[in-house]
Amino acid sequence: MLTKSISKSLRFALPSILITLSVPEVQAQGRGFDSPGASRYFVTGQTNRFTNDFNPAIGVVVDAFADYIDDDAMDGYGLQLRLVELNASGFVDPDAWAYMALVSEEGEAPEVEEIAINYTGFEGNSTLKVGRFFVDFGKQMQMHIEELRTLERPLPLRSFLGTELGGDGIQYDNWMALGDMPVRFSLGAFSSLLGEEEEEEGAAVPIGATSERSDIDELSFTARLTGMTDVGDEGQFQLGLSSRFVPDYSFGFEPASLETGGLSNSVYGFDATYGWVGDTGLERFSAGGEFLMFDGDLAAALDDPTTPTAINVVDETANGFYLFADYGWNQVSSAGIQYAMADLPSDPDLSQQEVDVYYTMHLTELRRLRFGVTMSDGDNGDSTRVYVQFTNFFGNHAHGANW
Amino acid sequence: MLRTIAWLVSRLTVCLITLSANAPPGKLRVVATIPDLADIATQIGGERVEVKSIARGTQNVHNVPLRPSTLVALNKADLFIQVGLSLEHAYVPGILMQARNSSIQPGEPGFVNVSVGWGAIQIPPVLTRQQGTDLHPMGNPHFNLDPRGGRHIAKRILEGLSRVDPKGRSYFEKRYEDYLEDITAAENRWAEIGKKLNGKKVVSYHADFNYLLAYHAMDLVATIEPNAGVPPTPRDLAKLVELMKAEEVELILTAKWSNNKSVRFVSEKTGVKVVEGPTMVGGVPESDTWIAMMDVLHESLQRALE
Repeated sequence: MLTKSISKSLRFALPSILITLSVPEVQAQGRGFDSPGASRYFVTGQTNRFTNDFNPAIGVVVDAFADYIDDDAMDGYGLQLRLVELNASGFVDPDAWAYMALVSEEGEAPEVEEIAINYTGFEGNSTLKVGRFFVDFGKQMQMHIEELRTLERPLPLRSFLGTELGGDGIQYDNWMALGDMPVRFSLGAFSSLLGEEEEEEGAAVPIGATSERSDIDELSFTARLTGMTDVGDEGQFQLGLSSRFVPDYSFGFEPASLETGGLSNSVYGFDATYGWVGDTGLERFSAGGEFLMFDGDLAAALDDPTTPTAINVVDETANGFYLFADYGWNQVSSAGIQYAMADLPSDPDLSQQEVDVYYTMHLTELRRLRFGVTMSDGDNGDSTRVYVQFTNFFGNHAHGANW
Repeated sequence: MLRTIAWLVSRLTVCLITLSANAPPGKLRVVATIPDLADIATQIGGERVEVKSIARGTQNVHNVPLRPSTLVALNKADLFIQVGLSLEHAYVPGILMQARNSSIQPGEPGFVNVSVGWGAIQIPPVLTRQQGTDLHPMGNPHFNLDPRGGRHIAKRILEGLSRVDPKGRSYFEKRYEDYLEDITAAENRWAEIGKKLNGKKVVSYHADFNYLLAYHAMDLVATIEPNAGVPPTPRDLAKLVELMKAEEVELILTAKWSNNKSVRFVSEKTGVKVVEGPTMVGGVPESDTWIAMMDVLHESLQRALE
């Protein structure tokens, strides 16, 4: 009986002992066996032996709206699943945090909108961010569109930087304390930072592009300096300066094989935001704005849309700004107004204005309903849009937005 | 013009340097998430500590707005104290990551989780958002309102302070013993009041008074929010009113942050009295220490049920 029991124990114990002896101490998770030529990541056991507990947090966002537009060019009702976003985030190791957002907009194939790793292993408060990510410009350009206070991004940001502005690049970030006031700066370099344009279907317009390979001084750059401070017991105030520089790009129009290169432009922004949160933390108010200056080669047009022979580039300065105020009176409800104005990059002597009025209900922390009206008026035409927006967050939702 | 700019820059530089040099010399810098922890850290740390609380007593502790000075305070802190049981999960991991202070990260000597060793109630049997949005996987975290909570928290804080300031250990221990005597005296007062609270039927807005109610064997019939973090619908309120009438509930317990129109509606429909109690130190007047807060809470309950 005893011999049988010992023999049974050895049968299980021996292979375990042999496996244990073959594993170096540092590989705490152990491994099955090494086949010749297997990659380091496969054989060290850290990537193929953990349970589900170590996976990143995963979430899905669904953003949809129903609207009615009364426009000079078109009017009517619309119902749209604007975007579905799959995101994941988590620590890679103690010194690195990563996140990604895979987004399908308006029913199109999903695209990697952001995937970046933040390395924080430096001495002090520095962070190095590498990957594809939204640029550190102002406070509203960094956010994904479903996270904004309004249905669309403010008019001058859309006009000068695009509906979204992300790129493949690297960003250095540092913050320091001046008294009780944190001050942060960042510097970024990207392969390209031409913003995503609002597409006009079938329009004959030149398309902006940067070259696939660039010299270092032809990369696109961003910079931001910002500081914030407490104001009394319940308020806080933030100021920021941002810039984005594209030193070399071109406009092309493929159907006529036209191209004009050696172009550059810059956008500078100055933002100020005041926030107040009442005694219970439920009543809150924020107000702020951002002024933008767009300078250089702003836009391009064909000399003749039917039989084009040349691309005319607008080399001027355009300005724009937006101001907003937002008041939340309980856990669920808030309302706000935003006024925006921007010169048209295609002709800075002309301008457009936009007013947004909205009411937001946070049904729970993870479900949001918004009712709004957007009135647009100016040299680009007049329009009114009434909408109901519904946004649902399933699970985790983390981005690398800076303050 | 250039001279004016140079003058402005030099003045600004002097101001910034002056502002940066504001650290109190020789004192241990302690940051606590809620004022209850800040108060108990002050009681034990005495002259050797300078304590700051992130939340204010009147706020919803699940949703604390962070301030710029919090980031700086955490960056310079020697000790960070949290309740734990995922009470602060909405903001602590993010702000600790931003603060970039390696000595107060979880697992380091400067990190104190006072829920270590506490036997939590209401651990959810199933983890799903169907059970609520403010769901705490490790159980109800509001044990700062348990009469036994102060004693437990004080012990964890004593350990933390002694870890980061070993020279002050005997000083902290002496103050800890004195503080326990104060708690013992307070416990006798609360026990007397508790005799009158025993068996009373109560409804609360959120599950934040559950430890206190259980301690005095009070009967929590329901919460006004049907699930943690989910506001009640009209259907939920109608069912609750019926239930409260059937069960003959005597009291509605709420806090400043949760004393809202749903509470008023239920009170009007049932005629049941509302007590706005503190859920943290400073939540109502005259509750500026943990013991004072628990006194105020017991006295409010006693008055309301007389």
